[in-house]
Amino acid sequence: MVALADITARRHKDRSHLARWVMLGLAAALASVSVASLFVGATGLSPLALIGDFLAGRPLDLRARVVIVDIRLPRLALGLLVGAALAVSGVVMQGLFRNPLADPGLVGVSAGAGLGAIMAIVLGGLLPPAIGAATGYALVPVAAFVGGWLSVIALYTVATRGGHTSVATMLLAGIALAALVGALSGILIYLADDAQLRTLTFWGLGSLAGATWGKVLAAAPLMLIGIFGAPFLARGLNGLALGEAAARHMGVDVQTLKRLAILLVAAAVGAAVAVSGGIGFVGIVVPHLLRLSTGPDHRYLLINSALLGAVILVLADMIARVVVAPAELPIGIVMAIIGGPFFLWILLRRRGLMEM
Amino acid sequence: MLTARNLSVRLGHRDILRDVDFTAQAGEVTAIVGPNGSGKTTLLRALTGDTAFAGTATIEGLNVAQAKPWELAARRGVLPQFTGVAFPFTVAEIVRLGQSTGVSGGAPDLGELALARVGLTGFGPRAYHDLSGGEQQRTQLARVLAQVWEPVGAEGPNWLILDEPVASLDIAHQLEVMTLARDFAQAGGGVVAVMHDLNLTAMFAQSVALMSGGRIVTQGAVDAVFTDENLSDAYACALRVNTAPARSTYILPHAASA
Repeated sequence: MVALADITARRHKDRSHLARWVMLGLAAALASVSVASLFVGATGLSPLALIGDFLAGRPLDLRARVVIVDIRLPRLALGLLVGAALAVSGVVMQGLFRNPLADPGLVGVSAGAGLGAIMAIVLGGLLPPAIGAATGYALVPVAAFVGGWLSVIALYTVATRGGHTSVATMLLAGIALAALVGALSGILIYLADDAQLRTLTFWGLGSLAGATWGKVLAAAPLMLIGIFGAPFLARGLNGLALGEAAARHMGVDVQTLKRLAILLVAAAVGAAVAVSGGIGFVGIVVPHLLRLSTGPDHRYLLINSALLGAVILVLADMIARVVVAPAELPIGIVMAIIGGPFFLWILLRRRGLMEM
Repeated sequence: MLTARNLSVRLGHRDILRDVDFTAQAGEVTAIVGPNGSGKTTLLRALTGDTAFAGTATIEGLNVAQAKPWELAARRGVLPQFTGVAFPFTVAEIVRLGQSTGVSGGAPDLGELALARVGLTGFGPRAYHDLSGGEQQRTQLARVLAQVWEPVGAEGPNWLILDEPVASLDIAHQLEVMTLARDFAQAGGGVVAVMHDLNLTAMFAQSVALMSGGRIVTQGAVDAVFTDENLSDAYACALRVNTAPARSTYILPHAASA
């Protein structure tokens, strides 16, 4: 208990101690949520019976093995990756735009990535069969990455003048971008055949259902680049919080930082959107909660956001699987129900935000 | 030494700086003074590499236009007129940003020392956005100090480049900040400061560059530059240079009709 009192006393002096403890706590939460998610779903599996079987050295029965290894495990992996990728992209975008409202979903980056994904789904069949077979599952994530990348560049060019980003311009540019992308997506959907339409509809609602190891392996590299690359930008993003000039004065190579940040966001968001569709609000809810409790220092914020994003998404996916069992809700709907009111709450707390 | 040779800055069709030559020596506080729009801040922005320019600028032999940001950051800290902070940092966290990016290294209590130097002892846990304008400006100065803590490092003198460092401060803190700058210079470091207050400049600077219309009218010791004629011409109003009983120079503005 002495240690605990010590931590509480220090908290007011230095939030970095708290941030480290939060990191440990989140890692523990992540482990338990992950294990729990393997045993929650339409098919009842008793964890105790499974552990008993395992200890007794009995092989898993076929049904349990299919459910756990081929359905729930890839789905868990996808949830962890997508949650971490979306949360980290939120932090990086907010650091890049120097604004806590810059979320990939809100400002059209996810929409741009979505257009890339839709193009790959609808037009991918037109590719020569040899190329189509070679790219396989990877075609959709890579196309989404390119779409997201072009969107961030367009957004940054429009909304940022001389290192200053106007929130109003950024959000309005995001609306324009989303409208344009929506129109283009509409044209593509018009062209799609029935099978493609069904794929597109479920994909657009945002879901982790239908996760397979193939999908996970295709999208994981891009998301992992985003998740594990972002902490290397922490020092630069901290400097950028004081403005481009101040960051440069402190030794940050601002141009390189911005290029890397845009690439990382595009990679993480693109791959996440490609495999899970429109899951919103993770990138804004998670960093906001962590900034409130442990402060904006990116050295901790990026890692903690990855952990909390993964926890929240796996939890939301469990809710999505359970509330209307044996059917399931798309996780995008669950996140919107949680995230929408949360976003309004942020606006209520900080009415002055638009003047920034 | 900090130098500028044939420095010119063009913005659109306007020459903001024309062929400016400027030198500042380590061990001195060098002030840049002049009326609004005379090019003071632009000269400073050229020296810090924030604006594109023709000509050459160097800090201790480093070419400002070519050196890497981290090479420059190891030799000089820059205090801007205003620093917008995007996220809810505490005062201690802001100061630590300077320390973690600069060359001063790991000394754990450096942040507290830097805050003490600007009169903000105990302000570390406070939220930066809750401070007054003057306190925020002094927090930023502490951050800059934490970046280049030693006036003279292993490679030679370090530099503080200050853009109107006392603009938002009350008179006691003006003296405190200018004393800090003078101490840094007396310990062997270099200080370049854009100044509006001619009396503070006369009190604390050893060298002054007087600017007008994008040029340096004259640069040299305070007594040589601050003459009735020089100042009245540059500022386009009647100014008289006087000496107070304690023999320090002061400048009294006169209304045009007087």
